[in-house]
Amino acid sequence: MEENARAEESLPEIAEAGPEPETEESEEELRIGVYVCHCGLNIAQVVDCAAVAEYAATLPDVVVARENMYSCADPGQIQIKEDIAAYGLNRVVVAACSVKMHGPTFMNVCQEAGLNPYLMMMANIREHCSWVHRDAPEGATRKAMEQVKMAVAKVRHAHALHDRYVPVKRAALVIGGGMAGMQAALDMADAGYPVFLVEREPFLGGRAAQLLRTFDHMERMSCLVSPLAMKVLNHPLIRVFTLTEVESISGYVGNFQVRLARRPRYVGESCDACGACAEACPVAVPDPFQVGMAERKAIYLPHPQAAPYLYCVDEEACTRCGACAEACPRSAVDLGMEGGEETVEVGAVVLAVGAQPYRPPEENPWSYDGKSDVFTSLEMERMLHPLGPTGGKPLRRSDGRLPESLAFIQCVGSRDPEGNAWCSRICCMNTIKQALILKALYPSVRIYVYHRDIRAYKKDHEDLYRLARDQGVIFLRAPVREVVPGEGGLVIHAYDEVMRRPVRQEVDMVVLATGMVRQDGVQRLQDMLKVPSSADGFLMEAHPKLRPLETAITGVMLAGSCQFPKDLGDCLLQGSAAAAKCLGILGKEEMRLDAIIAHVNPEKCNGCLVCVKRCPFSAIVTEEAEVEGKKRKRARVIEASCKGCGICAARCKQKAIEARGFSDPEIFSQIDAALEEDPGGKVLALVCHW
Amino acid sequence: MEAAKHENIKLVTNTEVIGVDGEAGHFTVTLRRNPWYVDIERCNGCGACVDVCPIVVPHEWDMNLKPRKAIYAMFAQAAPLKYVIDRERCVECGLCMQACGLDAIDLSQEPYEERLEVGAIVVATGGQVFDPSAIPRYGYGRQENVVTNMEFERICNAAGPTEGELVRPDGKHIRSVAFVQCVGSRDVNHNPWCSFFCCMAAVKGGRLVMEHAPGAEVLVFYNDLRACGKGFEELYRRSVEEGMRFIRSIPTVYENRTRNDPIIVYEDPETGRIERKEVDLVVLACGLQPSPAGRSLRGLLGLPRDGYGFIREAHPVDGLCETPREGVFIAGVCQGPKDIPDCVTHGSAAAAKVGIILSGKGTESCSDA
Repeated sequence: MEENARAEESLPEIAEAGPEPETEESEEELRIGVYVCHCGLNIAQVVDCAAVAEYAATLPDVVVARENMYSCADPGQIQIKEDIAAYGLNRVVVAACSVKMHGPTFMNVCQEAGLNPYLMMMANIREHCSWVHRDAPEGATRKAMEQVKMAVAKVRHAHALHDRYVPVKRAALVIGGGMAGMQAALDMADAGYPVFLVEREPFLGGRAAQLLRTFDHMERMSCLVSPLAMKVLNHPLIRVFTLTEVESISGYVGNFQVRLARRPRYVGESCDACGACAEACPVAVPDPFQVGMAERKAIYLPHPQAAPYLYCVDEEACTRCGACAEACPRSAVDLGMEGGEETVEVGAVVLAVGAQPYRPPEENPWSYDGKSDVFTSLEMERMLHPLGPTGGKPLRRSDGRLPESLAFIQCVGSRDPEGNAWCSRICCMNTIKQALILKALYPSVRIYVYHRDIRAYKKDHEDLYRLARDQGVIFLRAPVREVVPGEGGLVIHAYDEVMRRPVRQEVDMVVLATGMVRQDGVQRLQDMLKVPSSADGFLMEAHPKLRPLETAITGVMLAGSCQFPKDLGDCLLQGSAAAAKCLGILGKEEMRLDAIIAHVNPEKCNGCLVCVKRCPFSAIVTEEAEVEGKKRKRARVIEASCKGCGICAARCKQKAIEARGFSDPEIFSQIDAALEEDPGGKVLALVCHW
Repeated sequence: MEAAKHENIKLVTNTEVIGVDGEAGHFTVTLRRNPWYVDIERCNGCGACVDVCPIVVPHEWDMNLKPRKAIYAMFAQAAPLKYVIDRERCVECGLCMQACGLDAIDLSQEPYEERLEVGAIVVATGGQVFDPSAIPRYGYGRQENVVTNMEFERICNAAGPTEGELVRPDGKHIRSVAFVQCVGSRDVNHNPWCSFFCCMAAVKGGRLVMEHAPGAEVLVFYNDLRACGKGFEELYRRSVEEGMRFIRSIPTVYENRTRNDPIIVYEDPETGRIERKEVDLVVLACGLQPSPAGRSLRGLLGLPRDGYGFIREAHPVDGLCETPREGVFIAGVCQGPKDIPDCVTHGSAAAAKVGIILSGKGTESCSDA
């Protein structure tokens, strides 16, 4: 609460556009125009649009009522504009589709005709009527009439409202220094805007830095990760914060205030990565970069291309013995180094927090325990890496031998209706890639892939799949029941769907193609930004088809695997694409914000502050106000943060809060209109704006 | 609609690019503005001309399943909604000129050239659907009730030839449909690549049939069901639970000539037996392939092609929307088959690259050179 109050102080002035709501027009004679849209046949094949228009003409103060084939198309729009002029309309009702679909279209029509756009109401007779009452055209027509009646009743009480404009902080925050985040940062910086790139780990590159090759064209990862990280680190407009997490975010599109908390690295910029410190360090711990398959020291560089190229002290493992500081010839190690806080202000935010590999639970049907010869795909990737724990050789944990036969098991932790229901998209191609690398290194090794469908989803992938088969990789469409230890190897039990019989096969090594799951620790960020997750736990986009890059919160974009598992090419594309969406905001001096927001009447507010607690957008703050000579607490809406959800207005017992565009007279007149006839035979639900 | 209304977007339709000169930051693009034979400044899309036009021809927008006139708009929500005359079909009877209250018809229009100065170019010419008559086994072209996925889309569309009624080309209501996947795709004799969008399009189409006609039978004949996008696997599974049958088999389509019904003959993967199944409609999942428009523009811009004829990206991982020609970007299916979200992402990514050039601050190109 206090935090909000503080954030509020530094928020820019919002350009107020005249007194709201205007009162004078209550004197004015109402002249309402009603337009009933056929939407081709979407509406007209169920609803008798002519009858609805005829009915509308009988409603009080309706001076013109018409039907259109497509109200949204040019002829429909021109008709409305002409009527506004010809009939002097001061209210417009369009009975068509969802306001979400064409609200802006008709608001624009009114605006162009000189009518305040908030004096237009839509009655949704498509989604809310014709589409759901296909089998009952007569009932649907009656309902459409009543929807129009409700809209006409409401529009009588509508007030002219004015959009608000807020200045834009022309800089961006990118959360996550993986490939998607780095690409987003680079593109925005290249377009001339300052970017703050925040990474919680000590190094950039994310998951990609751990991998050997992409499956698209088998590119070497290091040739992609390292150059991008260098461009980002050297870009004059990008400030990289490693070891940093977002402490808090407040504000709204164009004006986010972000507090960053940085943990100490204990190694200064003068480090030249000579490695003397790590040699001196007596503490060895399992190396997460090697998926725990090798050890590293408490002071470390994860790999020779790490960016930034500075050693780092693992705070938890370090015993503070000081051996590293003594060994450092450049006095770069400082175990007394402290972290810090910093506040930055940005206009847009990109969430690029990635995903993480699924880890089989302790009890699992594949006998995976991290000790046997069952590996995850990430473990295999590290083993294939020349700088990996085995120097590039896929060695068995049991006896250090190369396997003569090896089986990949697909869909581990994916496509499981009881568990992770989604397909992780990338595992099929990743397996094909690893199989091809193995075949190139060890042509005699026998490779089997137990799969359910091979999902080779891009133009070149089918060729790789074909190549793997040509190289002798055997693909079995055979869901695996279990993997159990056998004599010297591992025994796979599966059901071969092509041969239609159970199969039992003993192999030397098993690789589990593990899927991807949501990143740990993202919930806190989601709570701060109010960004929801989808059912699969990944961050939810504003629209799965048309707006895959934006979240429901204006100004907050998504990039990379945090939205859904993706290959590297798609992560980079989404990084660029999210950058484009941010550029759309950063390119403006000011942003237009909707006029449908809440307003507190300080005269009526008794300071109970229920609204402050209930606001999901942290848009209401507490203020001291002088009432009858005494100091009292009063609620105040931060207009720019308000999304107009109306929760506060509904909660306020004093009726001190008005949700503009949804005031009590507007809502009650709608209810009265709906229930005038046959109230007992109706169910009336007032749900969301859309 | 949004694009047409945007103050920073000028739609230049009915136009071809015939020349491109210059370099990133300074391209001169020569356009051929083809005649509408209608003054589109005057035309308000009222459609009076259409009512009087006596010439009726198949409408390509509706996959030729529906007629249109010689003066027509592509579809009712077209942007811009202006009418155009198909001069090859027009008999110059002049009835439209009499009908037009705005005096907008102008048969004397000639194509003309126009030059545009731009800083960057995005090629987003899409793809083309495979013609299934090249595979006789599926009976397309010989059997009336075997349709392509695009034709099926129009049949399902409320504004389509059947006004959204699920009826097959011979007029019978559809109670059973067989979707045949990978038609021309993943096929070394035709298009070796996977078109990706078709699996989920079949799931969607099947669900539409089941919604329109409860109890309808939907069979999907597939190789691998590639439901690998967000929410796709979940939708696929729900469809299986709701009774859609997925059969991993490549069928052949015969015909019951008395009833006009396609007969699917396939190997049942669960029993290994050859089965016959008579259905009302067969929908062929024709894949995407490079389009002639993409090909000619590729030549004009001097862009390379990949092994399949799509425009080749600058780099398969970190240059998916760039081309070897600086300032020229690609988006969507002209680079390779994609579904809608992937196209939207590709388009936005190309927009970011264009934004960098237009900002005049691109440091990348300077430092890389």
